[in-house]
Amino acid sequence: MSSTTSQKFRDFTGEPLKDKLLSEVPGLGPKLASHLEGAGITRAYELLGVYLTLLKNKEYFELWIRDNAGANRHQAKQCADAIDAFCSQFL
Amino acid sequence: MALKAELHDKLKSLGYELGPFASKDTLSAVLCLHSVVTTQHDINVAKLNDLELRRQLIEYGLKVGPVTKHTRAIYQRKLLEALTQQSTECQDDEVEIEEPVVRKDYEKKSLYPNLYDSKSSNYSKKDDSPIIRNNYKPTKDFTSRNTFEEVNESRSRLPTKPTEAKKSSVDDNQLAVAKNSGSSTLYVGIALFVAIIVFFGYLWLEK
Repeated sequence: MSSTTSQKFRDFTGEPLKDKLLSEVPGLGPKLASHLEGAGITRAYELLGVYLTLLKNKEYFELWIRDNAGANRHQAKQCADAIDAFCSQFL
Repeated sequence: MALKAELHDKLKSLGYELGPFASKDTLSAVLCLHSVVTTQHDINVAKLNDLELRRQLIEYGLKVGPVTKHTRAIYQRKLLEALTQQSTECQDDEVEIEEPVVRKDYEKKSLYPNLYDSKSSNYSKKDDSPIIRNNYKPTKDFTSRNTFEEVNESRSRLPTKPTEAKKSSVDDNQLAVAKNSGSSTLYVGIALFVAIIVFFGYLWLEK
């Protein structure tokens, strides 16, 4: 399983979020992170908050990421997968 | 893009606050569906308050969380989709525009460079997908290279031995065929052989 995941993914899902920045979320790079900061999201846990408010619906979350960060489908999917994996691990 | 800014303004005046990066197609789909819904169902999705919006969504069977500042836009879209049975999710914009709606003349100069720029910056230092792809490549190339070289070697051997006796030539052919089908079958054969020996050894011991 670990051969199909990147280092970033493993770092993200292996430990609590604490105060991680958005650029540490798989799928999000510095540019997308700055877009989200424009939308008022600065930390990874805030992203988690949006995910939980959407009742952990990956499809809605991917839509939200695409609309608010300017991510393409692949990046949104990576992000949603990572946050979902984090939730199944820690929640 | 001027068109995109117009769409955003129109939607804002109606009461939709879609994210700044929603694609043009999505924006126009939302506009279209909004007018359809207001005429057909007599519901102004944009003007529904949070609780009403949630109630409507539940009525249509969607499982939705609370409608907050962040989730409102998504749920509005979903309600439009549910009411009209059509999707608002369309193609992403072809060009990844750097600034959301502000700059109007930016993307004309930088149509294709933009694509490369944004793509290379989106994949940050840790490079998610290239890493995954790189993990798979070497192993594939290795085995194919192996068999290809072996095939070449065996083929080069064959024409240099035309005058040998029939038996030995047949043997050579058989060997060549075995090598042609790849070292993988050889390994499989060896593995099976060892497995059978171990199996019989175990039975013999058990007796």
